[in-house]
Parts: sequence; structure tokens; C-alpha cells
Amino acid sequence: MDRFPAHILLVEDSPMDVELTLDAFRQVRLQNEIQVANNGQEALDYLFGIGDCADRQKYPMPDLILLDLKMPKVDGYEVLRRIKNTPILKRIPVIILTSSKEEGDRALSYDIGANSYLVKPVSFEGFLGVVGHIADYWLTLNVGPPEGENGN
Amino acid sequence: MGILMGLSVIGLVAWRYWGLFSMNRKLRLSITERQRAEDAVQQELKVRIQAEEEISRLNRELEKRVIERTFQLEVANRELESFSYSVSHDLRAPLRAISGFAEIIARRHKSGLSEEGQHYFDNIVSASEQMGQLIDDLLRYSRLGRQTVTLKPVPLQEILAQAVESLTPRVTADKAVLSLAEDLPVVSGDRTLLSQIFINLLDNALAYHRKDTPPQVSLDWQSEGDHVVLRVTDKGIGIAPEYHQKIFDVFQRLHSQDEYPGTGIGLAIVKKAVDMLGGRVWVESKVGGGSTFYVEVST
Repeated sequence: MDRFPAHILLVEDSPMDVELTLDAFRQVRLQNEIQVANNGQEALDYLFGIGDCADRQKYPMPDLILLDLKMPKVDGYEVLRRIKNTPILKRIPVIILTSSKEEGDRALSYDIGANSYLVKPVSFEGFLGVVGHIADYWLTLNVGPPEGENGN
Repeated sequence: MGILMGLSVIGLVAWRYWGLFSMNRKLRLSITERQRAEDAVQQELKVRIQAEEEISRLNRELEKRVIERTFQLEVANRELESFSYSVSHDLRAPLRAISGFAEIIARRHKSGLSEEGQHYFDNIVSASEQMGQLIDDLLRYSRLGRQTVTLKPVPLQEILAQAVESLTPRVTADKAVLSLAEDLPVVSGDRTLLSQIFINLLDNALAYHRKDTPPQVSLDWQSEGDHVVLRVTDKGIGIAPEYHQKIFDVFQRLHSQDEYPGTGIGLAIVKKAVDMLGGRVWVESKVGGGSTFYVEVST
């Protein structure tokens, strides 16, 4: 099966986590499709096309968002809430990528409209497995929403 | 004679009058006494009412203080638990980086390292795995405390059937003999907590066996009034008496990783779960003579 050409937005505040995630994506050959937002505010600026991000050639609208929950100031919940409350963004699949297995975090994420919830394993080998599954499922098997805005 | 008669009549009349008079006085006196007694009773009643009011006032105050104190303790408890939760989570982030990069080096850049370098990287990888296990266990322990418990009748038969199933790989691998009493009772408890208790107790009983003999573990029970006491007995290495309390504390271990791997959370979870069910857990054991763990819960 072919992967559809996808743009991924990774929202992650820990630089080392970003490096590891990008490395893992390189291992499953997804290197050129990932944009990184280093915190919640950057993610919102990117998605709402604020400042430089207005240039959609350079900063294309993502087909998939990987979202960390625990971030200073604007946290993952806030980003998710804004995405799901905005007609032009709400259909973009959002995968929560977190180290928390807590019931409360899981419940709130799904309540706000997360499309998937993945727990980052401690071991890199485990993480490679998770990233491989993301590529296989979300970028290969899953059929995404149609282009264009939903006005509901 | 006439005079004598007259005198005696007068005497009789006078005596009669005296009698009436003194009776009257006695009556009057007794009325006063009665009045006094009634006053005394009234007084006593008043004192008692006041005392009762005082008692109920003190009771109300005490109740208020108990409620306040309970509330403070609950807050402190919640704070402690949310503390261990955040600590565990924040510890996990740098740990993922350590183990992640160490794994990458150990996988991809191994050829660039000397044998010593490779060995040290393998050490980093396995130490971070161990640390990951500790954090997971700490989270499990802190999650247990934040759970609300509703006591319901739980058939231990079902709980133990599940526990045994999850332990089957270990039982097969170690050629262990695991015997459970039949007709296990129904107790008042919570499924998750009871599972945690028996999985951990059985797991320990299987783990700490003498290296030359396969584990032999049994579980039986007896009824004591409205309680049941369950016993998990092994013929393992045993525990020295000075550790009989300490083993129930978090991360208390009596052996090195090489001897008996583990994180030291199992019995702390057992203790916490038993406490939450309002029960008791204790151990009888001596070094080399095996151990028996007792769990007392209500029916």
C-alpha cells in the first residue's frame, strides 16, 4: 500500500523528544514531511497561519497532527480544543503522543476530540514500533477527510 | 368525782388538741420538706440539662474538628499523590532521552566503539530500563491511592482464577507447584484491589524460591466471624524477622537485581490495597523456612 503524501505537524516542547521523534520517523522513511512546533503557542500560530506561517507553500496545512499534552503555557489540551472548535481545522486527525497513561488524561483527550491516544514507550525500540504503526495506519490505511472546509 | 371527771375530760380534750396540733405541724413540715425536695429536683434537673447541653456542644465541636481534620488529611493525601504522579511523569521525559539516545548509539554506532565502550552503553540501556520499571511501579502505586473504593461482594474464586492465569507463564517456566484451596469465599471488597493483592502475593511467593528447588506455593483460608483470613504459603528462602514490617514499604528490597529481580513495589501495593479494603496483612517467616502471608478481609 502506498502512503499518501502527508504533511505532519509535530507539537513537542522537549528538544530531545523532537530529535528522537524525527530520528524515529527517519527510520521509517518519513523525513521530509514533518514540521515541528516547539510549544503550544507555536502550534496555534502554525495552524492559524499567523506571521510567517501564513505562507502555506512553506508551512503547509498538516494532514496529521502529533500532539504532546504536557507543555508550558499553552498545553496540548488547549491546542486540541482550539483545533476541534475551528471549522477549517477540526477534521485534521490529531494523535495525542504522551508519556501519560492516566485515566484522567485519556478521558479529557477523547472528550475534547482526540482521534487517537498513544503512549510513548521509554525504550527507543518500542518507540520505533509506535512510529511505524503511525505510518502504517494513519498514513497508509486510514482514509483522511476530504479537502476543504467544514462549515458546521 | 365530778371534778375528777371534769379534769379528765379536759385532759382528754387537751391531749386530743395537742395531737391534732402536732399532726398539723408535722404535715406543715412535710409540705415544706416536699417543697424543698422538689426545688432540689428542679435544681438537679437544671444542672443536668445544662450538662447535657454542654456535652452536645462539645460533641458538635468535636465532630466539626474531626471533619476539618479529615478534610485536611484528604487534601494532604491528594497533594502527596499528585506529587508522586507529577514526579513520575517528569522523571520519565529525561529518561526517555537517556535510553533513546543510548539505544541509538548502541544500535547504530556500535562499530565505532571499543568493547569497553559498547559494554558501558549496554549498561546505560539496561539501567534506564530498570529506571523505567521503577517509574511505572511508582505510578501504579500512586494511582492505586487515588482510586475510589466501593465495597461489593467479590467471589475470590474468580479473582484467583484470573491471577493464576496471568502467572501461568512463570509457573510453567519455573516448574512450580501452585495449589489453591477450593470453595474460596466471597468477600467484601473491590475487584481491582483484590486482584492486585493476590497477584503480587503469589508472584512473590513464586519468585523467592530456593535456587535448587522449584517453587511450591499454596493458598488456603479460614473463616473467623465476619472476617476471613487467607494464607499464601511458600517454601522459599524466607525473611528475617527484622524485615517483617519493612518489606511492606515502597521500594524496600532485600536482594540484589542479580539474585532476585524486582522493584520493591509489590508488597507496598498489597499493603495499600489491603488498607483501602479496611483489612490487615502480615507475614510469618523465618530465613530458610519459607514464608506465610496472611490477609484478613471482611465478608
